[in-house]
Order: sequence, then C-alpha cells, then structure tokens
Amino acid sequence: MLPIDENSTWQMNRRTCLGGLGLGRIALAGLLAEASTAASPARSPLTPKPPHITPRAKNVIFLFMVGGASHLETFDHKPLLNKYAGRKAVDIFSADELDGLNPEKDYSKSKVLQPVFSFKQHGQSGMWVSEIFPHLSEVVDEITMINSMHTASSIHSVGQILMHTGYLRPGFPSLGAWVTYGLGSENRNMPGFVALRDGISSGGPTMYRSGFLPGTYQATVIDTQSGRFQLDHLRRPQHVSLRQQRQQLELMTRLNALHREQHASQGELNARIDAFEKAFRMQGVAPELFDLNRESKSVRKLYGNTSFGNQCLTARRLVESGVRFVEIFNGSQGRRWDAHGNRGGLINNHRTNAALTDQGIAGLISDLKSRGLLDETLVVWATEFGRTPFEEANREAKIGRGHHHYGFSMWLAGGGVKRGFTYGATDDLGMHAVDSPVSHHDFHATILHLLGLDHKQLTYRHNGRDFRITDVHGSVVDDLLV
Amino acid sequence: MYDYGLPHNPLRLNPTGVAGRNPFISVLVRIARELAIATTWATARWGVFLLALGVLANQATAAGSGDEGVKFFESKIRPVLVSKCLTCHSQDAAKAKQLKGKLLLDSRAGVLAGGESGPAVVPGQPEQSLLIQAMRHQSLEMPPNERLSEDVISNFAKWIEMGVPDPRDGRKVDLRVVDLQAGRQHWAFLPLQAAVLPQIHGEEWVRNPVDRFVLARLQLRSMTPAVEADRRTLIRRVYFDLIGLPPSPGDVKRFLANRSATAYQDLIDRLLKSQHYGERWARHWLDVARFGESEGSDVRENKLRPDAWKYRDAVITAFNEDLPYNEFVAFQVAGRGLDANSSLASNLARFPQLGTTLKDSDNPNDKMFHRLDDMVSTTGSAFLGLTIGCARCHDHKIDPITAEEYYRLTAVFFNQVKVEPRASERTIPLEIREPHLLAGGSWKRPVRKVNPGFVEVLMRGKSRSEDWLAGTSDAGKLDPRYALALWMTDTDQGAGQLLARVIVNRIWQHHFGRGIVDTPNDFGFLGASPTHPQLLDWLAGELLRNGWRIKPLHRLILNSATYRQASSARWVAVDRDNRSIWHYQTRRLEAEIIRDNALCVSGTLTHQMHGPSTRIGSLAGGAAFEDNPETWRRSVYMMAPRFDTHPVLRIFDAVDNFQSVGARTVSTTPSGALFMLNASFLWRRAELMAVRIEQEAGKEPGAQVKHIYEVAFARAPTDEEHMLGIQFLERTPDKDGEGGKPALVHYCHAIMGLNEFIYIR
Repeated sequence: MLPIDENSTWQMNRRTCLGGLGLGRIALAGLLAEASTAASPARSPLTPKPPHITPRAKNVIFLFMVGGASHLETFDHKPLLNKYAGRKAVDIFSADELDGLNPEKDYSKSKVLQPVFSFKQHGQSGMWVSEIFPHLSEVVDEITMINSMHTASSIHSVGQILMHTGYLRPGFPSLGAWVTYGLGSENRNMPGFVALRDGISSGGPTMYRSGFLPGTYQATVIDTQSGRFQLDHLRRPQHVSLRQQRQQLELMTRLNALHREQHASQGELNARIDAFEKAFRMQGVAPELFDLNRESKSVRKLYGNTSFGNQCLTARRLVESGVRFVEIFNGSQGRRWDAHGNRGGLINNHRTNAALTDQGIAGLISDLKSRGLLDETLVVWATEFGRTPFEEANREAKIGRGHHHYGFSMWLAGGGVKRGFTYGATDDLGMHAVDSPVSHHDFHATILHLLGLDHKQLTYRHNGRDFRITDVHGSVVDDLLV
Repeated sequence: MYDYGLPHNPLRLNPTGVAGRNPFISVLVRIARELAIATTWATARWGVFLLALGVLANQATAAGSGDEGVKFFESKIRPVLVSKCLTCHSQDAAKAKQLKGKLLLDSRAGVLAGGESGPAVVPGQPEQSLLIQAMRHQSLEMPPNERLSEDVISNFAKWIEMGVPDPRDGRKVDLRVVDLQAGRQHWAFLPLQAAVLPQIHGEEWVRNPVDRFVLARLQLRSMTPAVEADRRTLIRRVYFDLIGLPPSPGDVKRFLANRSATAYQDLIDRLLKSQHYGERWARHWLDVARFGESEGSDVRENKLRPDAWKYRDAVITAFNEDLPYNEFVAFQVAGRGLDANSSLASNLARFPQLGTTLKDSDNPNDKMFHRLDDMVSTTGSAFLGLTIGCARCHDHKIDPITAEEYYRLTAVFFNQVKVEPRASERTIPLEIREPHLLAGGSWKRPVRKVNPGFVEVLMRGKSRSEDWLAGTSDAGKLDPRYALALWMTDTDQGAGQLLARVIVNRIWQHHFGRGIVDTPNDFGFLGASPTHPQLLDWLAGELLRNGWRIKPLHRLILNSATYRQASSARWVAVDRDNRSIWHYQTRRLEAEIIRDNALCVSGTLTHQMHGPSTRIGSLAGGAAFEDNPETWRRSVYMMAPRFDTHPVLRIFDAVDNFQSVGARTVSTTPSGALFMLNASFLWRRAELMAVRIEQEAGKEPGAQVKHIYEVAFARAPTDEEHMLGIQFLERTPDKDGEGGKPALVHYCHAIMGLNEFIYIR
C-alpha cells in the first residue's frame, strides 16, 4: 500500500471541502462512508492499492501533442538530411518502406527535406533541441529523451489509439484507466484520472475511456476550449443550499441502499452510489483546484499565462491533490501538430505550436522540481508519430512532411527516469529507429514499471481472456531508469 | 456490463478524423504487412484466430503457416534464389541497372507481384505458376542456359504449394484461402435447425416453448428459474420494454384490478398497438443503421442533412405497422419491396446514404470508396451480422468472405455514390469509374473490373451471384440492389436464415439486455457463440412462420415464464452474467428513455410524433441548446448529428452515429452523478413534477410520498421509504438560500436520481 501522508495536500483539501459543510457534516461523511463500505465489502474501486514493485513515481502528467510532432524539427538532430536534401525519396528508400507509411499516399515525387529549424546542444547533458523550444532547452537536464520510438501506424486515429491503449482499434482501456485501475487514487474527492481536452481529436474518446475496465476508471473530461475549464454540472444550482443538497444525498444514499438489498447481483448499482459520493465531494474540491488565482503571480508567469500553460498548472494542482493521472491533449481540434504543406506548412505549424506549449512545459518541470514533486511525478511528452524525412507527394504551396511511425521522438521527465539522458537513435536520415528501438508497448511497460506496476501482472479478464495494455508484447526499458 | 459492443467490424475505426486517409484500409494493410513487429490486433486475437483456423479445417494444414515454412524457405529456396536468380532479379540488380523482366525475387512481394510476364507464382498452385514453368523451360527458360535439377524444381513446387512462405520482408505469410465448404459449417451459416423441443423435467414452470429451451439449459447446470415477478414489477418492465415510457398510476391500477386470466397478455397487445411502440423500437434500429443527421466528415465541416429525419419516421411507422422484416430489409437495400409496396419505400431507401462522408477537400477517390465501404460494411453488420468490411483489403482473415465478394458488393451500391471530383484547389480526377477489385483496398491498385455479387457462403442451390442477378424473365438482368434484397431475404437459397437469426437475436437482446448471441453485429467466427442455439433457431423459425412479422415475436417472448421472472441473487456465484437466464437481470434504461421518463413523470412530455428533428445546438459553434417546452418531445426526435449529442443523452452513453452499433455501453461516472445533482434539466423536471404531485395528491406529505412512488416506480413505498419521505418533506426547510424551492421539489429531484428510476427490473 502506498503510504498516505497525513499532512499531504489532499488531506488539506479534503478538510477544506468538508469544512464548508457546517453542521451535520460528520453525519453525512459517516453515512457516505458506510454506504461505500456496504456497497463494496472490500473497498471502493478507487481505494489506493499496493503496487507490484517498488514505485518510483506516484502520478503521471501526460502531455499529448495531437497530430504528430516532427522528430526532425524538435529533438532528433539529423544534419545529414541537409546533404541529401532534394534527392528523390524513391531513390533512397525502398518501395516497401514508403508504401508502409500511408497506403493512400504517393511518394513517387517526394524529395528529401532538410530540417527546417536549427539545432543546438543544451544543458550539461548537451541534449539536442531545435530552436523552437527555447524554454524547454533550459530544463533538458531533467529530461530523458527517447529518439527511437516506433509504433505500428501512420494513421492519426490509429496512432493515437495505439499510443493510449496499445491496441489498434477503439474500445480498449487507456493508459490512464489502467494506471487508476492498478493503483487506485489517493484523492477520494476527485476522480483518479482527469483529461483536459481542447477539442475532439480523431482517436476519439477511446483515448481516455476505460474500455472494458469498469467505468469508474475512465477519465473525467474537462473541456478547455473556451479558455475556462468546464466540467459540466459541477456547480450546485443557486437555489440549492449545501445543506439541502446534503440532505437530499443522504436520502438518496439510504433509498439506494434499500433498493440494492433487493438486487445484490448488480455491481453497477454500487458503482452509481459511489459516483454520487464522489460527485458530491468534487463539487467542493474541484472549483478550488481549478481556480488558478490561488497561485502566486510568479508561478502563473512561470507557466506563461497561456491556455496550455494554465492547463499544465492545473495538472500540477491536480496531481498535488492526489489525482493519479492527468492528461493534457494539445491541439485536438484539427490535429494541430499535423504539419502538412496544405495545413499552414511545417515551418509555421511547428513554430506556432511550439510557441504555444514551450513555456508551459518548461514551467511545469521547473515548478514540480522546486516543490519537490518532480521525483514522484512522471511527466510524459508524447505524440502519435513523427514525420517523414522527405516532403509530401503532391507538393503544396508550403513545405510539409507526411506521417511517419518508423522512428520518432518522445520524452519523459521526473518520476524515476534518468536526467539529461538521450536514449536510442534513428538512422542518419531519421527514417528508422535503429539504435535501441522503443515500441509503444515498451513505452507503456516502462511507465507502468515506474509507477510500481508490472505490465504483465496488470490484467483484466474480459470475454474469457486476461487482457493487458501491452497485449503479449513490451519490455521495460531499464536503461531509462535511475 | 462494460461490453463496448465492438465485435461488429472489429477493425473499423472512427473515420471522421482521418481526413482522406481511410483508417480502415490502413489498419488492415498494417495488419497484413507489419507482423514483423507482430501487430497487436493479430496477436490480441491470436488465440481466437488459431481456433478459427482450426475450425476452418484444412486452412491451417499447409506447412508454411509457421516456422516450418520459413525453415523450408531458408534451407531449400533461399540458397537457390541467391545463387541462381538474384543477380538479375533484385533491388541490387535494379540499382546496377541489371534488372531483367522487371521481376524482383528478393522479397515475397516481388515474387507475388511478378514482372513483365505476370505474377511469378500463384500461391498454392505450382502448376499455374510461371516460375515453375520457367524452371522447367516450358514457357520462359530460367535460369537462362541452365536447367535446375528436378529436386530443386520440386522444392519450389512444394514451396508454392505451401503458400510461398518467405520471411524476407518480415511479413507474415498469409496462406489462407477462403474455404467455402468449411465456412458453411459455421453455426451461423448452417440452415436453421428443425424445431425439436428439448426434454425437461417438470412442466409446471413452462408457459410456452421459449421456456423449454431456457429451462433445459438451467437444468443441465443444476439451476432453477426465479419466481415470477409481481404484477407491479411486470407492468413497469413491459411498459419500458415496449413503449419506453412508464405506466401511469391509472394504468397500474387498472392492470391490478383486471383479474382476467389474460390481463397480462392483453396488456402486451395493447402496448404493441401503441404508437409509442414504434418510437421505442425504431431507436434500437437507428443504432444499428448508424442513423445520423449530418455528414460527419469533420467536427467543423459537419453539414446537416435536412431530410434525414424522414428515414427515422419511416422506421417508426414500419415498426408500428409491423411491416414484415424481409420487406423492411428490401425497402432499405433496394428501395422497393419484395411483394408489398408501401409509401415508406422511398424514405427507407435512404438507408445506404445515412453514413458519413469524407471532407469536401479530400481526394474524390477516397471519398467514393469511403462511402462504398460505409454502405457495404453497414449492410453486412446491420442485416447479416457479418463483418464484410474486413474483406476490403484482402480476403477476410477469419470469416469466409473474399475481397472479391466485398468489391462485388461495392458494385451493387456503385450507382449510389456520386462524388464531385474536387480536392483543395486542384481538381483530382476520379480514377475508378466502374466497380473494380482493388488490391490492398487502394484505388491506386485496381486489379480487374467486377460485376455486382454477394457472399457465396450464404448461397445454396443458386450458388453463384449471377444466378441471383439473372432475373426470371426476358427482361434481362435485375437491378443489383433488388437482387441483393432477394438474396438477403431468401430463406431457401440465400442469406434469409441468417437474416432471421440476426434480427431475432436483436429482439431478444432488447428484452433481456443481452442477446442469445452476445455480439449482435458479428455472427462470424470471431463473434460469440449462442448461449441457446436451439432457441435462437426456433425463434428464427417462428419469425418466418409468422411471415417475418416482429410483433408476434414480442408476444411470444414477453408471455414466456422466462421473461416474467423476478430479479434474484440466487445463482450469482454460478452465473453472474445471467447467461442461463435464471432471473431477470436489472438493467439501466437507455439515455433516450431516461430523458423521456423524466419528462413523462413530470407531466411535461409532448407527444408530438414525427416530423423534422428538434435542434440540439452545436459543438462547433452556432446556437447553444435551449431547453424550452418545444424541445420536450421524445428523445428519438432530438436531432442526431454526428459529433454533437444531446447534452442530456450524452451523459448516458447515447451512440455517436458513426458506425453501426449493436450493443451500447453502460458507464457509471461522477459526471453522470453531477448531472443528477446539478443539471438544470433535472431540476426543472423536479419542479414540474412537484406541481403535478400536488395537483394529483394534495398537500399532505404522506399522500404525496405515496403518489410519487406510484408515478415514478409504479409501486407503493415500503413503510421505511414512506417514513423517510415524510421526514424529508417535513424537515427540509422550505426556503433555504436564494430562490429556494419547496421541499417537495427537492424530494422529486432526489427520486429521479435514484437507481430505481433509471434501472428496470
């Protein structure tokens, strides 16, 4: 069992929450606790559970760049591309290689394209980062860079689903759901898994849903499109006082318990009783958690005061309060990192997207570090795939690169991974992950391992078979661990 | 409970965000290609896959299927290729400008693709293979100036027979050849079994033949059925089941007072005549038909289809009129009936067109094949429980459906797709103007023209598609869509028996919460097996004996002792999922019915049938949803564009309308609970319900509580519930906080939040 520090923040938040309830709060807390116990003789599905192995991280902040961020314009420095630039892709790569990228694309006229941004080495570690991430460049010594990622699809929706569930098609549990299933949550007032979503991306809800795992483990989705963080129906209507709501909930808990006695076989009735309890608590806690005005000016400035920066700051506040897994989707609407020539062009696209996220990410890492939270929080920067070393087929007015899943870059920071470390490599043209390739399965296995979960043991029986996020694949990449 | 109903088209993915690159093709191509890293799908399904191959008897017999084939290749084939062939037939040769005959033998793909003279091999058929002929110097002479030994040639022949196993490009060798004979043995493709009612011990419990099948399975497992539910439970259950609305206290009173032996039967008959029956059951079909009222190409480019509601109305009417199911099917696929004609024809005929499109800016070729795939796949899933869509890029991996059959089905719908060639600012020509078999699902690789045709494993007697298309008179060939309808509904020689099984299973599923076959959209090898196969066949037979009418089937099922069982916990330890149907499993109402129920008990449901859909606002901007009295219609009339779901319905797992859905998910989340606590929709209902209760039951709390239970749960409160209710009403301060509501409003609101309000038992 993970130790719960009596003085930890979630306790304080809980006090704050219940403190507002006034008279009778003990009665309700007691009643709800009682109902919860009755509902599930063992414990609530989100009760913290013991890990399989010694955990190095407690929580995850998963930053997902929707659309496929180019490894060649961000973290994978390939000077040789300059030399080959202008040569035809078909003269260098086999038909098989090109064909496998995207069956509907014709690369017969494509030419190798040099990196459009300049790269420099940064920090003590000398990690290569392109010019578009000036802030991130300053914290590279906290990062483990993986330059040898590869997955099984260069289709947005499939790639996104793969990166989140390990499977090619929708309907399987997402990483966040698996983690919450495996570890429970330390904040009884909040869901274990929260997704901050700035739109609906092609991978769809599978990316944060629980698939065949119980619905308790799916993400509570916060829409951030409007710039505010919207969780539907979070606010009690004005005409309902807290006391009234509490009385109503007491009544419902009692009546539901009477009803349940007649339907002992129905697990989901219990789940719904739990859900009410959680919803009630969330009302008290969530508005405060989402209120960034509670942060000092200097902290808000650190995160850049952008929409994405605010999401990162919110993510920190959430994990600080004990939420297990927070995911931020960046650019869901219109797959914003999808840098084709007809979508604004690679240069403009990546420069803009990096500018929108750079300071938030760097701020998050520095802030977590200064609070001593980076050790227990794993920050992940991920995307569905990288981009081709060559230009697209039907060259548009602007330069663009196609989808590319043979080799690309993602990174981890904090939570038990090495600092200032670059792992693996693609070949000289950035085509294939050749040195120490890391598949999405390995990636999932490693994240679970850092959290103290053995990916082979973390299974769920469904349709007569034990499923796991890595299916029958995946190995922990030990070299990344401290 | 958390079954996501995926098995229909297991490989299809949400096409909407993919903008011009069809994920379906790609996924399959990936699967076919990338087994070097052993793609997840294949291995996820590996056990089942092997099992299926086992079932498909001789399909796995070829030695090349595994390591053995690779070993053979490495020891017998590769050395010869290297020493005798690759100097002139390889990438290296090409680079050195030495390539001959444009033939590459350094990859399996090259071997299969062949060169100037055509494919080098025909897998499985050495005698037909050019490579062998050339080695024997029968046509070409290869290698030139040298004749290989008979041993070597016979090794190559064996290799081809094995299916050309070749690990060089890291691709899995796919040997499977669709085997019709073996495929026909799959339970779903066999003829309906003649009805032999099972032997059971004791007849007391049995009300009709349905019960014999159920009891036989229970007895085999040493279980017993539950007692019959009380009348109040039953009336609430059948109301929600048949019309999706709660019984009024008056309905309940009348039913309880009716001591006639046929009171329950009469109740069912009355409900089947209600116009609300069609509204309830149409919604089930709309899930299957992926009915949506917009193009669904992109969240921002989501043009509404202003006339789509006419299809929904036609489905409602078809159910209400009990249009025979075979005619219902024919109207949808062919736009005309088999024997009947009906004013519904033109609107049911919208079925093929209900699906999504790709974006206007996408390649017109992609757009066209996306539309065709949607039509073929949905037709397969909805009517036949077949994942035909999986055969788009290659012969179906599991089921006996070939890629050729897939493309012959696209030929049936070919005239349905009209795509304007327009992409970006440039005009991209439409490459395929006639139906073709495409290699790997890509319009860039047309193989040959195809004529319309159907799935042969579901043909008997008239065993070729041509027989079905020929027609009977001199009038010439039939309209292929009409021929498709004839084939699908023909129970003697076509797919009619499967068609019957699939719909009967859907009906059963909506009465019990789970089908006899748990995968309603997949009756193939990967689908679930029926828990009660004989019952399924018998019910299908009943459907046919009743001239494909659905209402008699409802009567049969609802009048059974099986259906009338109470909920119980007796055999939970043995059969938690109630596969043996030892009780009536409590289940949550669907999103639409939860909303309708709330509107109904608050006395605010508008019974305005038919007509254009009520707008629900838009995610991508535009008008927000307004919850005003004009919108208080049944949920089946709420607009169902893609991407946008009605704000109340989306809380409770309404479908997204992108693809055919056979079984919905049920999720329980804090978001759902927050809705119940705080949503203005529900508070508004509570206020209106309180008004109704006060009007009908007066101001006395005891009477109010009793009446609320009658209205919301069709029963009287227990003493404890009654007491808790009175206490609540008396203790809750009337005005607490700004604009506070009377205690009765709070009480009504609490009642609508209870599990019992949204679960039927």
